[in-house]
Amino acid sequence: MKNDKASPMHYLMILPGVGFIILFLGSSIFLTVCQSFGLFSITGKSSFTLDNWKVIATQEARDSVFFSLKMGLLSSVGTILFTFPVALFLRKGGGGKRFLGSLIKIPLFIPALVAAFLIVNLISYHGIVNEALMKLGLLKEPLRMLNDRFGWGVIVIQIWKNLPFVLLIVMASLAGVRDDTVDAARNLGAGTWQVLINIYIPLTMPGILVSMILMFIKAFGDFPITSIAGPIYPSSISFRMHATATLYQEWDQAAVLGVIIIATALFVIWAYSRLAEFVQGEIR
Amino acid sequence: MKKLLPFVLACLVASVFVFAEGAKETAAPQIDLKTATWDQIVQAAKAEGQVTFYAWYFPDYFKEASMDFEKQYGIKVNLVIGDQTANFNKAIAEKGNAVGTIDCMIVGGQWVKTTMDLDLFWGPVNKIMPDADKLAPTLWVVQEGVMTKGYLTPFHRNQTGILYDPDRVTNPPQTWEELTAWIDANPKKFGFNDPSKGGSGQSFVHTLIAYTTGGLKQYEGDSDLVQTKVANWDLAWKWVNDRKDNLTFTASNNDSITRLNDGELAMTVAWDDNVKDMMTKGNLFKRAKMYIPKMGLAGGGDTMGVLKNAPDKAAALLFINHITSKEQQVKKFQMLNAYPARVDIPIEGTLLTEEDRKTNAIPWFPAPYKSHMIAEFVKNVLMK
Amino acid sequence: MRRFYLLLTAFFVIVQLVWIGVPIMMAVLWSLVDPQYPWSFPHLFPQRLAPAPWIYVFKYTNIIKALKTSYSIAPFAVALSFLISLPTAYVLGRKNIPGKKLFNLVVLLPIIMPGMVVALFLSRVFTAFRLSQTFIGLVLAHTLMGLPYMLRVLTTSFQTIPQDVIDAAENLGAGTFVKIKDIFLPMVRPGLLAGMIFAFTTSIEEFNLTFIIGTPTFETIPTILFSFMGYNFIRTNAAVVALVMMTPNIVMLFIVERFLKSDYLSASLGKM
Repeated sequence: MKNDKASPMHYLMILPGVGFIILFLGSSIFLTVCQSFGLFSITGKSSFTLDNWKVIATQEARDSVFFSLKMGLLSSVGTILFTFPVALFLRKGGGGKRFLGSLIKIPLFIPALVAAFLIVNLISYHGIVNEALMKLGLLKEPLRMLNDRFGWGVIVIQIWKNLPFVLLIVMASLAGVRDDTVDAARNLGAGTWQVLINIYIPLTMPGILVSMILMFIKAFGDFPITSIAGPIYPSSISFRMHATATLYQEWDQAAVLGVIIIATALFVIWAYSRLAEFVQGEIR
Repeated sequence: MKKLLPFVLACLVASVFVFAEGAKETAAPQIDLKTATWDQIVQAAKAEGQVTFYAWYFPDYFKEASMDFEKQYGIKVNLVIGDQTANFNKAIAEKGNAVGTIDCMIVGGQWVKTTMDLDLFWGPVNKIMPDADKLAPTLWVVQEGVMTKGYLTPFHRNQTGILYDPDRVTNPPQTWEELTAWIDANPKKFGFNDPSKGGSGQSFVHTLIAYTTGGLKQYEGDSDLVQTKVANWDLAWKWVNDRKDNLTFTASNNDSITRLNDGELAMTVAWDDNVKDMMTKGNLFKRAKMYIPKMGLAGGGDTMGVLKNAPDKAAALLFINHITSKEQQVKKFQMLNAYPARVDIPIEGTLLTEEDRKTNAIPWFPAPYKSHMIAEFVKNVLMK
Repeated sequence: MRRFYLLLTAFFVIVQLVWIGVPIMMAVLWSLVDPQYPWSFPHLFPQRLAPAPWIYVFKYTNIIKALKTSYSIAPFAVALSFLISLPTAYVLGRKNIPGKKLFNLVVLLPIIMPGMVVALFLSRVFTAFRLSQTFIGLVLAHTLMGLPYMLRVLTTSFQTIPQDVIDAAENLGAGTFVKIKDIFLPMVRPGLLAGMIFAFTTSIEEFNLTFIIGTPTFETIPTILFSFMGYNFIRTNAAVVALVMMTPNIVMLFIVERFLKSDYLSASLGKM
């Protein structure tokens, strides 16, 4: 499959996609990196300096980075855990499954901000969830679920909103698993669990990987959902970047945080890819 | 799929014609706005023919005001109600352009410092505006603790106060000690927002500092932070940390009010205009009461500024004059019960009494202290 | 066994109706709160319903115009990202060119970039290219933000086409055009449709860049949404805008589902 040698034709073919992106983003990334070192400053006073990078040493910046990482990792892993069984279930058609499939996909078409608002409505102090639990006698006092310190509110919203997103990708991947492969394995005596581990997961790994990467990026860099439903402290790294620039007027330090966001995301993506290769390699 | 493609292509071609028009270019004014007479400015504004104005609240009032302006002067108003952050991001992003797309915009909150530091506005305009002397004098000079040097025209005043549910609070506290006692007696029923996310929380912490560190007079007039003066601020943070379990931190100005409405809080700090807006739109129960306690809470207002690279400066000035005219300020007050910036209008029926405003409202301390306060709160209270 | 699956399906349908229906129901209720009868604790439901918030939103915002604008930009952004992605995804999915890993990362940059960088820097790039305040500019901006999804999903789809099918076709003398038309396109269809849906929703939701280079000439739905859901959060009006935004999307979803389902069946290799 992959033994064609690279030809200039191939580079020409990737030019539309990759070229388009670099054309527009190249200067923005370059400027952000420069500003983190004090050059091209938005305030007009530019000089090369490493002082801005000291801001990463502050506790607040680290807390925000770890918080956002946590949100990204837990959201992506959580969603895939929920989604995979559903994808397997929906793989076989029939019996009202199309309707179910459509229903499940609705949150995909609901914007992130709206999704946050809807869920926050439910889990507010005297919201419907608390009232129901109290009526059922399970609670004496309402639970404070909003803006919880750990960030569960955010994770729940991310899973609610993104489950269909991951589902679509995983199902597209599953569609590529041949029925006769599964049948062959079954005929050889493989049990359900073995079929899952040795066939479904490795063959859909590219889809799982892509969806987890995309979900991670969304959750890691999120601003609106975390502003509404996230803990009061720490704030997401995107918010911290925004506050550093506009509240404390430290534009260059904000650029540092920007570089950190980009670098961290790239690193985690690379880590996910290696993990996927490992899982695929191991199981095969 | 096959049928979709030609359809899409047809739409593409069609829309290119429909949507191809870009922003209209306008000629730069021929006159020097700083020395022209007001009549000349009006003529120049009419020649420009349009004005683009950005705000982030009161869509109802601004839409009506825009229609009145168009009727009176025949100048088209491009009104954009956006989001506070987005509006300023746009203004900052366009800073380097010779000609921007925003003519004038509302300026408020933390953005006063940011935009003045970045020198975004054209002016000063206090000598150009015909009714300048009828607008809140203090707001011409200082806004949110920032010296605005006459660049920003006051159009709206607001004030923070204590908002409470009279069904649950029988004796609203007036002094700092009374408030402290109430908080300790009613755990989690008093809340305020993280200062980095809204001005009402900032106002509360501002008063907190007044009462725990020896008053606000010592900071008056400082243009930079004096480290020795903030050395004892740990006393303020201690007050908060000692009763952290009794306090509720909310996520924004509006979140505080929402939580009061939801019954989670019985008392909070809020902006009077926010409260009134939410009440009229059915987002807050009508029995809620508001007052400025004797211990004092800060207030301020919002202003309007003309962008340095505005394409229609004369029209912008005329529009600002329109919004700050007596008729429009009265209209704004009637529509929204929002406090006008003009001092020559009789006011009745506001949430906060005139008495309260005169005696208990306090000014902000200088902006460098405010930024420091916000950062320190995060570091010493929220992080722990 | 069939009965068990049927019951399980029914169970999931109910779970989903609650999981999704309840939040939406709440939004509907909030959008109908009568301003004279504010909805607050301890009422579990608003005391009086009135269309006032709807009237307010339609009177004082340009929501109809924004709807038209948003739904005009989205199809082009989707079409453009599809056209741009096709060759790139093919190479990244099936060929072993040096630097492939790097390109796969570069492709993700538009969504990794922090919102502030997009708002302040990327907008200037568009202005420098004279794309500000133009329809084409907005289409290109939305395409840019949707490309990562389209590219990565499409790449993955290309990756999983088994080589033996292509070899068989080549042995039978299929030319490039035939290969594209009869093998590649049908086989990546599930992934392609997924990518198109993502590109579409990304376009509809795009706010940061659109606000800066689009307004005041073009107002999109997110502009109105953020004015009620951002700093100035008024729940009743926000509920109206949210519902107005959701409804056409959900209607379209049910339509698209028909395409998706039939394509799963045809693309499923077990049937070939």
